[in-house]
Amino acid sequence: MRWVAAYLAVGAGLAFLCDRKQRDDAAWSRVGSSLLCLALWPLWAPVALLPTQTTAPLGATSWKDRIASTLNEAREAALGTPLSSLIPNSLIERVLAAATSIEQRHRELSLLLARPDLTAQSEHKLGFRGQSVERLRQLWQRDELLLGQLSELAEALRMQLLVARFSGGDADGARDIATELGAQIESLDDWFALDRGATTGPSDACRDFAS
Amino acid sequence: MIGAEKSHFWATVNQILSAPRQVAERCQRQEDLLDLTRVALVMTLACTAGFGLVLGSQRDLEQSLMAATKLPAVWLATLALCAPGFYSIAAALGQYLRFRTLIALILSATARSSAVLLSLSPVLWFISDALPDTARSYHQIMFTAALIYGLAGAFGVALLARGFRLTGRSLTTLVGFAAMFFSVAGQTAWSLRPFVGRPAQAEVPWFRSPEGTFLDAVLLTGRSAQGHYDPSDEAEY
Repeated sequence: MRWVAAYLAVGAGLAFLCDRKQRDDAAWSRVGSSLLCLALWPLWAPVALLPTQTTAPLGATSWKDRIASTLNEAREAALGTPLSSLIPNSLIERVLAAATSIEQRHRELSLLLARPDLTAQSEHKLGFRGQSVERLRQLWQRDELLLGQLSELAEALRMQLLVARFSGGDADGARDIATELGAQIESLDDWFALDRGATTGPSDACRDFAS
Repeated sequence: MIGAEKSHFWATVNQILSAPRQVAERCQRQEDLLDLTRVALVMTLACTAGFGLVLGSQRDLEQSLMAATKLPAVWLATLALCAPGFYSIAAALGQYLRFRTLIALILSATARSSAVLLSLSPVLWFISDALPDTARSYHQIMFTAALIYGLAGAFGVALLARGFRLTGRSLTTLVGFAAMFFSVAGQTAWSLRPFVGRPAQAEVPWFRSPEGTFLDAVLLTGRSAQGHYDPSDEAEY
């Protein structure tokens, strides 16, 4: 009996915290959440009380921040050496502009795809609506992949510049990666131009579903 | 407003049942997890209680209600006990899931299993109705219930697996989860028995006094279901 009392006492404390955290929600939602916390706090409290963290990589608030941090470190590594020409400010600015755009769209698509009425349909892939949801999901995956590729290229460039600087050897590896990063950004610029010119791009699809 | 909430609730139920990949992605993105967890908990409670009603119906209404109360408690207590262990196993084997993501994932998997469990309850009901009221039938019903549990568990594992990153140790992680879940669930259920009630007993108590362990009971039930029934074994356990 003492164990039950202790369990309920912990549950009551966590239910109070839960209620405070959800004070902007509807009354029935708060009551339901508090009751669940009281009775099932080992399962409910972590979901209700722990902060939401994004899928961004560890140690950074977003993909863009991580890429920026990596490229800044790469630039510092090359500063004052002939290698600095491999990583001009213009390249960094373009990479970060692209990362910002992709990440913003990725976030919007994430929110949209989390809606259960849309996600359940995409599993069946039937009809126009189901196919459109599937297309949105593919766009989300493509953006995730692009962000990962940009991040990997930035990381590889940083490492090559560090190796070239400290070994004193040639910078062919770093040059190749910088070229690849530039080419990647070129293709992304083209892609965004196409997106903006398209009559039924992802943003239009988002608006269709929101209405 | 209430209509919209209802529709949202059923859309989430439908998502858990028919779109495991989407549920796993939703958990990983940590989006609307409170809603997903709430629906998963309601599903688990309702479906396991329904299965408990059928499981206990072999005897009488009182036993049905008893099983309908205790079965959800077994599932939820097991998950509450296993959650930190699951997190440790996943982290040790390279699955970097947030704790709340993991909780939402295992609750969704459990809700899916519970729904399958409830959908298979007519099978159990037909078997318990067809078999005569003997000690051997009791063990056959228990054995069938265990098989149904296993099948329902497979559907939950299918959802869980989609939440993991595909690595060489994904299978090891799943096996670790399954081993931990079934051993804890088995012992929890064993501690809260009876769910069906032995035919020899005129009165079935709410809780039976501690006798042996879950593993002993599995071995005894397996032997009895194969026809090697020995009443002295039962007296022992």
